[in-house]
Amino acid sequence: MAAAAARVLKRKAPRGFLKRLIKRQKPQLHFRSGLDLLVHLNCLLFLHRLAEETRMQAFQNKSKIIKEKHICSAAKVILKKSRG
Amino acid sequence: MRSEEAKASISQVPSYTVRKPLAPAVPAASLQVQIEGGSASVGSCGGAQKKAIWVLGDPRPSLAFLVNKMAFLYENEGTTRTLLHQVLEMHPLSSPISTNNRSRSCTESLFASSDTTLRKRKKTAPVQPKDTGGTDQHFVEHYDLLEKGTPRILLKKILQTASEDSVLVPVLMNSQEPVPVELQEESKWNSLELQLPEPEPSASLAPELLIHSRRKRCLRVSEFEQEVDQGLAVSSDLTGEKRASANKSSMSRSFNLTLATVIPPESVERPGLARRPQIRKKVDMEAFEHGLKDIPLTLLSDRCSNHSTTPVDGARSFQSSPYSLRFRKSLTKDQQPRATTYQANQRKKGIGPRRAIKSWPKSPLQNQPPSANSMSIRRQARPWTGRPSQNSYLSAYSVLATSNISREAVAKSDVVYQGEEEEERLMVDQAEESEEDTETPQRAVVSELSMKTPEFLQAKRHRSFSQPASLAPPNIVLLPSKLTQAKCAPKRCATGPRQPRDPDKASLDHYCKVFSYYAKMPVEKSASKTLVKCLDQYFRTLCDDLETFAHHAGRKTVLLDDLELLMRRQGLVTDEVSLYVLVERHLPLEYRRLLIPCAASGNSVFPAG
Repeated sequence: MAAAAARVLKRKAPRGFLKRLIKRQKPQLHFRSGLDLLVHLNCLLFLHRLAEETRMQAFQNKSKIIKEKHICSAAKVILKKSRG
Repeated sequence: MRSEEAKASISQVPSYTVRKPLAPAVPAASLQVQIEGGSASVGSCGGAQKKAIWVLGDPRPSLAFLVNKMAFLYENEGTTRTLLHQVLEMHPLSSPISTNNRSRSCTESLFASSDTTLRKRKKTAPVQPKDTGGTDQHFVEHYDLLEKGTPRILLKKILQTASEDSVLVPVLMNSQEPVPVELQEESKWNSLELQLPEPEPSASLAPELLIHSRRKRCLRVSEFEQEVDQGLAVSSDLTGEKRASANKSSMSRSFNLTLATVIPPESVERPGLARRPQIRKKVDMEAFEHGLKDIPLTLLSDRCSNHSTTPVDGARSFQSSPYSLRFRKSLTKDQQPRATTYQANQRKKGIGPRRAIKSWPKSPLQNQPPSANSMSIRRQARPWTGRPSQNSYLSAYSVLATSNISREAVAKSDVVYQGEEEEERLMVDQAEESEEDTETPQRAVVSELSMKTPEFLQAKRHRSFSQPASLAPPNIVLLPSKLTQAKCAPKRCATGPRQPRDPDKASLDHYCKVFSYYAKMPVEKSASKTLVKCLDQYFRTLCDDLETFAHHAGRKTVLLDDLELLMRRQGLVTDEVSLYVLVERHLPLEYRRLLIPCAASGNSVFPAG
């Protein structure tokens, strides 16, 4: 797990990817230089919450593998939360 | 009187008197005097009084003296030892003769007393069998040495007997007789040392042997490397037979090492070999196929006429052996890059290609054994298909080469199957044998091989078709649960549609991995798709929110504050948890520096705050 953690944390934020995404959707918006990092942070936190929720769902269903339905049900909750 | 007697006693046994106030070497006369005196002698020999009384009645002065001595000895355990020690120390190292002259009397007396004490001790104390035996020996030797040996020897022996646990006893007994008296004290230590070095050489022998064996092993490795170098050098040469045989023999020797030792030098010397064939395989194979179709058909008709019985066994073994598959796999890997050159050679149809072919099988020989094992494990489909095509090529053009290859194939196939180290030996042996064979058997082998090629080709085609289909889907979704497959997939898939898809996919995959890491549970493939959908949805909402915030603030650019507001609304940033805390927790250091305004020198804040 330590190795996996290292791998995850060492990874760079896909800054270009994020900027492209946002530009595609909202071309009129201008972005600050450091903001895509924060967006990345946001993504990470979102994923974190989602993963927690899915894990709980999987435990509730007593399955050791995460399945689609778990993610779906979890995403519903979390997306609502992160609407802002 | 007392003083005179005391002086006399002192003169007789100087050391004795000096050391021990208690034992003023009370001679018999003085003893008697003391006893008669009574009170005066208390101070000088306190404990002896008790015994003195007992001694009173004894008329013989010598006995009395002895008894007195005994008393002293009984009082203090090991008094003999201490006494003798003192004697030894006091008496300077000198020739035995002088010492004898000097203190014969006292030594004799001492010795006599010690003998008596020994006897007494024997009687009183429960002596162990060892000691008794030792003492018996001592007694005998004491008597023997009384006349010959010096007091030192005697005293030392007494010491030994006096001590209960004396490891030195047997050794000293042995060593002292031949040893000169002058170095008695030293001889004592020498004897001790004699004991010590005895076990040492035995111990040292073992490590020496080990070291030797280690050196041998090290030598072997180095030998192998040397031979590998030789082999590589030879592979470039044209005349291969003798050298190759020499190489093979040397290789057989060197290949006795484990696989672990075998592989690294190969990889070190030719780092590209392991990778190159993997990438180019598909293309080469197809080219081969095309070439195969054209050439062997023409030559087959010529060869078919020539049949001989002898090589059949070789062919049979080659075909029937299940190992041949593996061998082919292993062979083709290294051979494929050369296949292209082969085609060029084929057209020449001269001695050149033959030579090239000759050297060619030998060079792969050296490379393959280490790689064969690893290769055979990994790749099973491709090399298998490639091999027969190559076989056909060889059969068409070079007789010798094919024979070599066939033999090598047999050898190698057997080798691969049996084991790593043994493999190489066999291969070497059989390769050596193959070289000696004539050309005629090869033709039959060739023909049979060529007959088999169409079957192989068909199988190969099937496999090649099946491969890309299976490989495509895993490329799309990389999951941690199927990492091994994922590893294989990108390797196998050649340069497919790269640019339009990959960046998005890469980042999405990255997020998938993050998710799986956070979840700490295996995630399914289908689940990852939903994950991607969720992420898309999330991004959309995120952008909308940011836009509304910026618009609300009357700005067209999104600022840091907007994001912080967003996070606050999401519930990530609270009064307790600030944005920077989250930044520190989750983002790597470089990003932290960029995001969090830090005070820099010169009254400036970076980034601009």
